[in-house]
Amino acid sequence: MRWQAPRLSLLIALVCVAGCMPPDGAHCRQDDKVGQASQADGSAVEVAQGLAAVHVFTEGYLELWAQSPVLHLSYEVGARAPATLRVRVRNIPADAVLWPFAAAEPVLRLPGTRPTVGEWLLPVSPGQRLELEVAPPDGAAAGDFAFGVLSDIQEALDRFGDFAEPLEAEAGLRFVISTGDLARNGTAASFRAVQAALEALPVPFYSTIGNHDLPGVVPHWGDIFGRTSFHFRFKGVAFSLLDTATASLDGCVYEALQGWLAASRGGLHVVAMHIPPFDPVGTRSGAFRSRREGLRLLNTLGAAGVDMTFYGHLHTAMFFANGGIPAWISGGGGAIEERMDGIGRHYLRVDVGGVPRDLQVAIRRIE
Amino acid sequence: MPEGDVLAEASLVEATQAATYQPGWLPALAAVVPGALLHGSGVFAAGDRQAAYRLLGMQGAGVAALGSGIAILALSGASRKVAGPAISLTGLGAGLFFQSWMADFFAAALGPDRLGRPRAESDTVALRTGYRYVHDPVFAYTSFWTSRLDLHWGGWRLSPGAWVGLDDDHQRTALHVAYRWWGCTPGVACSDGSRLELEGGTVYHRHGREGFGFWGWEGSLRGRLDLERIAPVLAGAFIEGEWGWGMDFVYYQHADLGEDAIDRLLLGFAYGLYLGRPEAGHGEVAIYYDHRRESFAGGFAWAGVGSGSIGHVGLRGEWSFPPLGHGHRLGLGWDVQVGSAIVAGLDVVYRWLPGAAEVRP
Repeated sequence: MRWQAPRLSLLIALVCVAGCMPPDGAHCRQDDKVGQASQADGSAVEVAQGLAAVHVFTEGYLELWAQSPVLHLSYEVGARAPATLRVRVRNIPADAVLWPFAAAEPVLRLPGTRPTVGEWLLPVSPGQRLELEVAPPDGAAAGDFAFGVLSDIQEALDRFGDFAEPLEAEAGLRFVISTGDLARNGTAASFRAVQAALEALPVPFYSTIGNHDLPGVVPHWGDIFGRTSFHFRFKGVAFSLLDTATASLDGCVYEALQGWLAASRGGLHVVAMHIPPFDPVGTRSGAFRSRREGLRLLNTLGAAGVDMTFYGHLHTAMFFANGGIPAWISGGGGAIEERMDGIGRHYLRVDVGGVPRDLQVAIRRIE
Repeated sequence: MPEGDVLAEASLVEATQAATYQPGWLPALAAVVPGALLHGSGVFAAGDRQAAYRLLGMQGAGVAALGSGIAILALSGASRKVAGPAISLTGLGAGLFFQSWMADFFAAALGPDRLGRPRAESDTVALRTGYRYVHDPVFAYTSFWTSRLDLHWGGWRLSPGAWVGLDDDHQRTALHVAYRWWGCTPGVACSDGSRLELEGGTVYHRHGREGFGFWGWEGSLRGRLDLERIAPVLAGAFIEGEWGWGMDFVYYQHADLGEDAIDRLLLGFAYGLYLGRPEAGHGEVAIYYDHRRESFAGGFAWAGVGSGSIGHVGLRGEWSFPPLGHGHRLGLGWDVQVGSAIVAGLDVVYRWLPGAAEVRP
């Protein structure tokens, strides 16, 4: 009889082992599906590195939500496809053009009402394979520019419109990156509401996922926003947005990150994620669930010469250094604010420029 | 009424209640419904109202602390200025809530007669050495040899310990010093296993292959309370708690020690049962929560709101075989932890208590 208690406790522990740990690789498997679609007539589209979610792909019409200011698409025209393809790309810079590979001129952009939505009409012929680029004309050229960092909107979506005017007034601001927590919870309806609000901004908004966007699995994020971990280059600067919504990184993200780090050596490299590897306020520790995993990630980023890291999750603004890398925590999108820090709602403006090129960060408060 | 008579009457009431106490399946069921929300329901159903009220009081204190901690965190937006105390309060509340529920359930299901009794003495030497298997989705290591030595001298304890990777260049060493100012010490017997210690120490954790690690120090107040002190029908069970603070100084392959200095909160609680009798085969088992996230188990893994904010849970135990003579005992220990990694291990335990114990009045 004296063994009843240990047996019961062991049972509790085993149930936890089996049921409480999120499966490794779930987000990566979801990411792998992003940016691909096909039709029965043989038409197929693939966005390089999954940098856009395919929202609609029907006969003669393709609609994407971009996660990068620069997109490369492969389009296979089906045997019974219509003679024209209408391409609509949401969440791209206002000056983005669509340029078929080896064409002398870009395709003319159709008139639209929103600066971050571009539409083009392409003549196509059955069996043709098109390689397309959607990007601003200066997207690959080195030069000065600015980007914003804005995260942790959560339940403050109704006040999110307050950011539009200040962002519009920012000279040279090309896009905003976000570390996530766009919605209070990860329902499809809440994500669509967020997307509608983002389209009211003057610049595109590229975000990884936050823990509030993640109600256990990621069925909606991939369909609506795209990949949770992704990498792009703009004007010679590398941007890696990593999915740390579970307070950890999936093994497959570590593998992808190694490639992104190797490809970005020597140039400026910005890395952003929602939950930071460690919280500078260690007793609070709003951070990776394993502190040593966080240190391991910083060890990897630091050794690869990453220039700056951005985090969210904590609803404040803090500058510090981690692993020798300058770091900013910025969670000023409107979610419950950290009190007694004197910060409030805000976003960051990051200027890329100078000789040698570096990153200058300024806090912009929203009153 | 004189104070002595009052105490005698109270003891008589408790003894009478203990004599009529009837644990079993029905009281155990009552400890679940409505006991999950109304702690003490199990022992109440088994026949001990006084114990029930005390467990209910313990639950009430837990709910108050838990609610206060969460309220402070929510209202302050997890402000850096109050997060440490608020999380401590939350942990204390969660601990009391969990412990009072477990105490109710096991006392209602098994009762004091079916549980073991504490060893009312402290060994001079205790050595645990064994193997740990670690499944971590992030790190490649899996196998460790672990060892810990406890040397007691009066109220003092010196505890060196180590984890050495068997399949990776990975080590964690620790040296702790503790002073026990309440509870059993070598050669001085006492009434039960209750104790209170102040502990301080250093930890060095090295990821040799990856080229990073940290050196840290920590200090904490930790203790155990045998629940028989709360009510006789709770005999055979104990609760534990720990609270403290530490600081880790990190080095990386591209930066020296101290590149990052990160503090941490030490927080833990446990509920445990004694097994067997001290004069024969004897041991204990405990289910626990540990807030540490720099350890091998790390923090509990879940997705969604709250991810990354809590520590790990575990189940540990030890069984000592009957004494070998001259104060020597051998036994087995085990520990299973679930956090961001799963840690499971088995130890051989050697204990030595030379000489006969002098009974403390």
